[in-house]
Amino acid sequence: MTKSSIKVELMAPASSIDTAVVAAKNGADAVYAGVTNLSMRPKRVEFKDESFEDLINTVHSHGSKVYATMNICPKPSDVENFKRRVSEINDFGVDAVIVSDVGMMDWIHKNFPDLPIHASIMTSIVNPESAQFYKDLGASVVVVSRSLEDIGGVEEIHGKVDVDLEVFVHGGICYMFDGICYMSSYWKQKWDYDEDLGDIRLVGQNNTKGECHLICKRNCSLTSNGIVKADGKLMRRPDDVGLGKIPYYLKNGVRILKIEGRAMPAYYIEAATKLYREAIDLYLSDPEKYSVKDSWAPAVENLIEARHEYERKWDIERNLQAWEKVENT
Amino acid sequence: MPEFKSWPELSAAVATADILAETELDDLDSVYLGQPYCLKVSGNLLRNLDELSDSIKMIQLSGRRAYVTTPIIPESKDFDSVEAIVSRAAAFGADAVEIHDAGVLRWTRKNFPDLPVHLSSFLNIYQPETAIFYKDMGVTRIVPANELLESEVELIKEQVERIEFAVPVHGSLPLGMAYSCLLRRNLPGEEMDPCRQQCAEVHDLDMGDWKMRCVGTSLVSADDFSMIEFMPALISEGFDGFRLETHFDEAERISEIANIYRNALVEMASRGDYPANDLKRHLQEVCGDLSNGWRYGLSGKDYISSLDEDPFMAAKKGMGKS
Repeated sequence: MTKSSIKVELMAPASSIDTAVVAAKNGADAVYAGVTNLSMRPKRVEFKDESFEDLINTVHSHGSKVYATMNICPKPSDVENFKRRVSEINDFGVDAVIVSDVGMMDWIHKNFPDLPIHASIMTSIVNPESAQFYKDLGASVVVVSRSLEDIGGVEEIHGKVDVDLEVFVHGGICYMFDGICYMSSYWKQKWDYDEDLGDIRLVGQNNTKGECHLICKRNCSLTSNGIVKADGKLMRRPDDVGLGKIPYYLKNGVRILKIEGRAMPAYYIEAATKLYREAIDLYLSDPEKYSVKDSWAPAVENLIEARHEYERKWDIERNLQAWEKVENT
Repeated sequence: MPEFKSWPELSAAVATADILAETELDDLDSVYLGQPYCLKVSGNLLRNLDELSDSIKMIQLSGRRAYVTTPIIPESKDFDSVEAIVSRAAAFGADAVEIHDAGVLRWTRKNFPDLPVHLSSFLNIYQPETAIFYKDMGVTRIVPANELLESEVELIKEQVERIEFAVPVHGSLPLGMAYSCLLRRNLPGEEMDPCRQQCAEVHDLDMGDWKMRCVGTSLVSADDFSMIEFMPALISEGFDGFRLETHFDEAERISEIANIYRNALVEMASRGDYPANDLKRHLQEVCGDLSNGWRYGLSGKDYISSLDEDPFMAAKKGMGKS
């Protein structure tokens, strides 16, 4: 048996302090959590001002790290709040910030040089030059796009750029490259009241407010000259299940394996974290003998079914109802 | 007549040498050469570099500026193509390259520091500091994010000097860049190489009560984006470039659209006004329904007329009532 000396982190999503604790207790080395109005998910799974300090203190007490997700593309009116929150969570002792906007990344690097920056999945890094671009900007970790057509691209980036890589190892996956999808606001965008702002704001933008309406998970039909050529969930991609790719990733510079799903319930986060913790530990204990265990199949199936359930019963309905409500007022 | 710094440059995108040969260039100041969405598109100037060189020369000899676009999100395996395209553009004196990817930007600035660079909306410039960062990198022209409101673009323009701003005034706006071709993935028998160019036919992705246009590796606005009713405002705002996003159009359509927008500019210059409704009707005859909602706080697929009430003010009133 040859134990691996690779240092790798398993990163799990946190939508509340409870889910963060669940993740930490089940083997997450780090959790990532959204800062209200500044991450790519709905407010209900983000953390407001003081709750982020509670989150950091709680997760640190379990020996895990906290990465703050601030990966929207802020609009001019968001910039001041963005900077204030970076300063605040830096004081709270956050372990890194996950950012996509290059203007904000540059500002953070200049003003908080000791605060690690992770270039978010929203940057859609698919080639070494992009990875180097974000490293030059101050990123210590870059997330390789989960839409990479050729997985060999990870190796290519690792071979040419001296930066730690992060990949999504499990979860839902978009049809479009992250950060360059504008389908949601093309479909629906409306002025609506925002309780936090005490004023109306535009609701519906994905890149700037994380208001994704899961367009790519929906039924649709492909037509030409009025003839239906295909129909169904034409854009839906199967969940990413990265158990078999762990050896490849870890041999090629990946230092953070991330589980997707901040909007998913606690039981999903628990099950996914437990599964990938076991897999990573198995690999690290003896890399040569690692293989995907048959006994993991039921857990994988449950995770996939949980995501389908989420898509069916929660987000799509919630979004549609929310829009109907807005439209009926 | 509206106040303006200078008359904006009117540009169109042309995908192939055949389309370029048949396009009426008289109404254009510049052309973006190549189809950045997919290198597999038949005749794409980005994979026919000799034709690309000839096209640059032909456009410049006609007294216009020739810009060369680049692939939108090239993976490592495709990066050699990017290097070849940019190198050829530089060697043949292209007036600028258009870039959509941070890696392509880095490589280009490193290897061709004197080659002017235009950034597309795919680089998500939503706020002034992002624009300033790119300006400091040596970028010469940017397109602010298409989702931004008119007032937000204005704010960025006010705070960022010594860089050119361009804005789409017409055409297919991108709604996302897909990891693989939607047509080849879903049409039976299409997944195998060589690509059978199904994107040459118009395909829609029908979502029930709304739709997008499917161009293979990308989805774009189903109805052409159009700012024909808002030209005076755009001229007053001092944009340097007016873009016709015509990557998927044939020569006749490009020529007609360019002519309509040129007429608007000429009329504005000569008498300070233009027949917006007539030109809009003409555009609708050529292009069908139009959209422009993003810029005014509606859904991107919607169309707002210059005569309609400001959606923000309408919403404010609505909130007051409730």
